[in-house]
Amino acid sequence: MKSFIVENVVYTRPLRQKVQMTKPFSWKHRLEWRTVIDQVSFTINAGERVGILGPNGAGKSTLLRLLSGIFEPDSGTIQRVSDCTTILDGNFGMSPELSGRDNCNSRLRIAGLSTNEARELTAEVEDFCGLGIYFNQPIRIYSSGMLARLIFSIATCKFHETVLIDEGFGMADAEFQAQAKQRLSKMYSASSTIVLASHSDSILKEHCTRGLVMVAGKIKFDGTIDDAIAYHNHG
Amino acid sequence: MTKSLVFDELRISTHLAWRDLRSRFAHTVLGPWWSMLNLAFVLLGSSVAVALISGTSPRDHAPRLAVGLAIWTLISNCLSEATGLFEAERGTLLNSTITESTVALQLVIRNGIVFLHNSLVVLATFLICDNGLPAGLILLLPVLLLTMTTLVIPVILVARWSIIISDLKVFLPSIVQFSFFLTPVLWSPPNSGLASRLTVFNPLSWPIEVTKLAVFERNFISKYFLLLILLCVVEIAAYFFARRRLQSIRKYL
Repeated sequence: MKSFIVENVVYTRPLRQKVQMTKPFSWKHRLEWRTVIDQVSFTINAGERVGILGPNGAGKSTLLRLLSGIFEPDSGTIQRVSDCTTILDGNFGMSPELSGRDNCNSRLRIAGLSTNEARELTAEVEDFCGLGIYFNQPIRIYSSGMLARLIFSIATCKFHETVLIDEGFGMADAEFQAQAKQRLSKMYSASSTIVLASHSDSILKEHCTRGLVMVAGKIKFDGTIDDAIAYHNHG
Repeated sequence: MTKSLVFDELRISTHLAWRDLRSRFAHTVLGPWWSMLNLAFVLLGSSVAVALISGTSPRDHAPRLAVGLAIWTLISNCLSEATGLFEAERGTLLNSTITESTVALQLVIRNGIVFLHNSLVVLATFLICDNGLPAGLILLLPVLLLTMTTLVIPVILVARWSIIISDLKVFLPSIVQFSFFLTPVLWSPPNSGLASRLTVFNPLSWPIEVTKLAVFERNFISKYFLLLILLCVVEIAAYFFARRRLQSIRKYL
């Protein structure tokens, strides 16, 4: 069974140009469209653990957002068979003035959960993330590690068939990383599909079995994770 | 769009609106009631100023000013805040699949909640200056709903254009401030002449005039009411027609 079927996907986005004073109202001159994902095709089977490698700006995060349905491709198709959760950036759409509890509740409500379901899962997140009294403090005072704990706990508190992670929990301390690995292991055994974009060879080796190497919006290599790391590091 | 999708959009927008309101007034003693006090101070100041200019008592003007200022606050806040809306909600848009119309609706609902708080100032003004509450005040609620519906599409457009054309972000709040003087908030339009035409051709004045005519002249179905409904229908139809041709705003974030 397939988790994702990606066929000839193209995604462009605009880059801003310097405003020309000779053409101040020519808005089209201010934007230059650049292809970020270029004719990408691949499939991911259910239960597969795929690592995405590549230099900065290669299109890894954009590809994860396309897979999750946050971005829509300009052309080509993406078939998603399973439901998915995402850990994409350090902000996670959270409000800095609100507490960890309120942000957790809000994220779960946005994800479509009812008030009661969100309240129950928030209690579970509180237990898992181990933030203690800080769970009720505004997240603007959190360190990046505390934020990573909270985001990972929210994203994985409910079982999802697919987890899409961009760097993810690397910022958290060793104790929480061990906890996170345990939760991910449970997901592997429940045959969840994991797609993980990272620059860390050790994280990729530990969590993935297959590797995709992206360069300038194209997939240059698709194979085992060890071969993908070797290809990425040595060309 | 199916019924459940519309319901979901409303549910998430309302949740986001409350979240935003809590975030804005986090750790304050009065919370959203601060906005009510702000309006009360503006009303007090403008009632005195208008009374000084016209040589009358502030009590004569306060009820009209209260209605005008409460509705104007809703409209101007929605339009001014729309310029930074998608940048402010960048994190939410890039980490979830909610639509840009949900985010726009959130802004309008949040300002609608603030309007409901501000309505208490309007009611208090009538009780103090008018010795009672006129029946037409009940129209504040349907006018609020109609104005909020009419504001959603302009909020989406302003928010989109502000991301693409950065100049608008700086320029539009000035235009909104300028429009305040062209809209019958501090003054009442005469029956003819330039000011009358200005009121008819300025959509920002329609919700204010609908309410003022209902409250003070018992004219419930005025031409402004019909114009407001027409604008609402035309906006929604035009947006649904043009929506497919618009690029996703996430590309620009």
